[in-house]
Amino acid sequence: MLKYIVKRLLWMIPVILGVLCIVFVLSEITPGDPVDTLVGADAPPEVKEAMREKLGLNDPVYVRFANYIVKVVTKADLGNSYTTNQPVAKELMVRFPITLKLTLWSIFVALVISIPLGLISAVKRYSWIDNLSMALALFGVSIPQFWFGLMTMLIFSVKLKWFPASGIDGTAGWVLPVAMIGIGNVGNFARITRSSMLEVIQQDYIRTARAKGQKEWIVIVKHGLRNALIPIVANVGNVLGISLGGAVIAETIFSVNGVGKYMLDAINARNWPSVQGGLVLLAISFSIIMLLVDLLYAAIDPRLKSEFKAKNKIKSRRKAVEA
Amino acid sequence: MSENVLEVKNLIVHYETQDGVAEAVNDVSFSLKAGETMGLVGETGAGKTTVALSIMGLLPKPAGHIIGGEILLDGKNIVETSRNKIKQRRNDRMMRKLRGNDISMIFQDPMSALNPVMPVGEQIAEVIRLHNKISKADAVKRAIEMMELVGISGERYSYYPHEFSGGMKQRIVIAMALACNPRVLIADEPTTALDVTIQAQVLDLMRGLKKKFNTALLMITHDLGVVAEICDKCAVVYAGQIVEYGSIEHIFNNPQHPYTKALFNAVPSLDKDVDRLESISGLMSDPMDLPTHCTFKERCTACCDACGEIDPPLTEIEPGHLVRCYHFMKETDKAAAVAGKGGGVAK
Ligand SMILES: Nc1ncnc2c1ncn2[C@@H]1O[C@H](COP(=O)(O)OP(=O)(O)OP(=O)(O)O)[C@@H](O)[C@H]1O
Ligand SMILES: [Mg+2]
Repeated sequence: MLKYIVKRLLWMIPVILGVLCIVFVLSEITPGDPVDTLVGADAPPEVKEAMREKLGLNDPVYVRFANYIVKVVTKADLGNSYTTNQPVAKELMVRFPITLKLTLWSIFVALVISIPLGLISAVKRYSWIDNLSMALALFGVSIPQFWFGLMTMLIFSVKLKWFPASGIDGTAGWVLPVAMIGIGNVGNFARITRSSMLEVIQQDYIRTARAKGQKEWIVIVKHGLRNALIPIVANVGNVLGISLGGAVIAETIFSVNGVGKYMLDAINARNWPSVQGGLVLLAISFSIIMLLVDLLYAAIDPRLKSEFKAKNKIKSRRKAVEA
Repeated sequence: MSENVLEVKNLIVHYETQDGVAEAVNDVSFSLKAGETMGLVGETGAGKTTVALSIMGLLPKPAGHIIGGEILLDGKNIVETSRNKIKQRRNDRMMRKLRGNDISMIFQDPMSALNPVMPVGEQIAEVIRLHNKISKADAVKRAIEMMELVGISGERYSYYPHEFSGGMKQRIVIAMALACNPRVLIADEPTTALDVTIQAQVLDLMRGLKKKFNTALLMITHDLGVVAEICDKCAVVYAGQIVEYGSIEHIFNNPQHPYTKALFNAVPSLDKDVDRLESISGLMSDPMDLPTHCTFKERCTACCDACGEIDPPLTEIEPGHLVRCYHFMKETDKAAAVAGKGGGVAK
C-alpha cells in the first residue's frame, strides 16, 4: 500500500512539470507586459529595461523555466509576486485553505443532499417523489453555474439581504458560493445514486438480506447503499477538478479571497510568479485529493484491495525469480 | 404422530405485468413433516421458484401476488391475500420474524447471493443477531461454529465473497440459512451452478445437516438424480400445477403421468441405450395464456380428444400417489367434468 502511495506521489512531478511548461509557453505568447503594471506604462524605457533585467524577463523562456525549477527545487521558493513583492508561497498559503474549504464543503453538502434524494428515488421508483427529485436533479446539472451564482446573489443578497453579496465573513457568507459550486454536483450525484441503487436492489444479495428477516430500510442502507456508493465515489473524484474550477469562478463572483481570485487578478496584471505558484499548488492538491479518493475507493470495495495485493505479490515473486 | 411443519394449500400466484398476467402457480398443494425432504421437480418456468418465494413472503414486488390459498407454518397461516396496505404491512412484520429463523432459503445462484462488500462471517453473524438476543461476540462465535460445520475454516471469517470458490460460497450460504436452526429449509437448485464433484459434496453436507437439525427440506431442482439422492417424496410441477405427487418409490418405480415418464426418458442412465434418449418436444404453455384444458396436452403422446376439453384434477391412484391426467380420472369424475363443460363432447 505504502509503495503505491509513494508511486502516486512521485507521479505528481511530471504532472507539475507539464503544467508549468504550459504556463511558461502561455506567458510567452500572451500580449501585455508585467513591467507596465509594475512601473507604469508611461515610465521611461531605461526604467522599464532595468526592471525587466532585474526580474530576469530578458532571458529566453527556457532559461527562465530552468531557473524557476532550480529555485523551486533547491530553495522551495516560488518567487515573489510582481505586484506586492511578497513571497508567492506566503500569499498562497493564506488563500489556499479558503478555496479548499469552499470546494470540499460544496461537495460534502452536495453529497448530503443528493444521496438520500437518489436513494428515495430508487426505492420509490416512478412515484411523484422520484419524478420531483429527478426533475430537480436535471435542473441542477443543466443550469449554468455562473448564472445561478449571479441570480442567487441578486435574489438572496441584493433583494432579500439574507446573505452578504461579497466576502465570506461569518457563516452566512459561505452559503451562496457553496450553493453555486455544489448545485451541479447535487444533480449529478443524485442521478448516479439513483441509477446505481436501482441496479443494486435487483441483485441477489439484496434478496438474501431480505431472506434473513432484516428490516427493509436496513437492507437498503446496509446492504444496498454501500455497494451503490462505489460509482458515486468514483464520480466524486471526477468532479473534484470541475469543482475546483467552479470555486475559481465563485470566488470571483462573490469576491472571496481564495486562490482562484488571486490567480485571476494575477493573470490580469501579468503577474506570472503568482499564476505559476497558484497552478503548482492546484495541481498538487488535485493530485493528492485524487489519491485520497482512490484509497477510499479501495476501502469501500474489497475486490479492488485484493486485486492490488495480488498485483504486488506477483511483482515481488517475479523479482524473487529474477534474483 | 408427527405434525406437518409446512403445509401449502391450493396456492395460486400471479405476476401482474404490463404485458398481462402470468399465471405462474395454479393450485399447488403439498405438505412437509419435520425432517422430511420433498423434491419439487420441473422444467424451467414451471413455477418452482415462485412457490419458494411465496413461502418466504418474498415475491418480487410489485408484480407478484398470492391470489389464493394458504401456507401453514405449524398450522398457522402466513399468507395475506388481501391487498389492504395495513394488513400487508402487518403480515410483512410477522414474516420478518419468521424469515431466516423458522424458514430459510438457499437461492439459485451462490455466486451472487452474498454481499460482495461484506465479510462472509459478518453476513452469517447478521442473521444470528437478528433472531437471537445475544451479544456481538457470541454471534461471531456462533457464526464461526457454523462455518466450521459446513467445512470452512473459521479463520476465514473476515474474508470477502470474492476470495472463495463457488462451492465454498454455497457452503457459506448454507451456513447462513441454517444458522438459526430453521424448521423449514428451501433449497432452490442449490447445486445447479456447481460442478459435479462439488455437487455431491454439497448434497452430502445438506443431508448431514438436515439430519442433525431435523429440518424439513424443500428441494427444488430439475435434476432427478438429486431427487433420488436426498428426497423422501417428490412433486412434479408443470405449468404451475403439480402433475404427479408421491413418495420417491411411487415416482421412480411407478411413474404414471406422461410428463413424468417423459422426464425419465430424457435422463441418461447406464442401463439405457444412449441414442434412445428422448427429449420432450414442444414448449411449455405460456403462463400468460394458459389453456383451460390439460396444460400438457400439446406435448403429450397419450392424449385423446377429451384431453382438449377437460382440466383434470389430481387423482389418487394408490395411497399417497396422485396424478393429474384424464386417463387416471375416475369414471364418475369424467362424466361430471364433461357435463360441467356444457356437454361439449356429449354429441
Ligand atoms: N418477476 C416476474 N414478473 C413476471 N413474470 C415472472 C416473474 N418471475 C417469474 N415470472 C414467470 O413466472 C413463471 C414461473 O417462474 P419461476 O421463476 O417460478 O420458474 P422456475 O420453475 O423457478 O424456473 P427455473 O427452473 O428456470 O428457475 C415463468 O413463466 C416466469 O416467466
Ligand atoms: Mg427458479
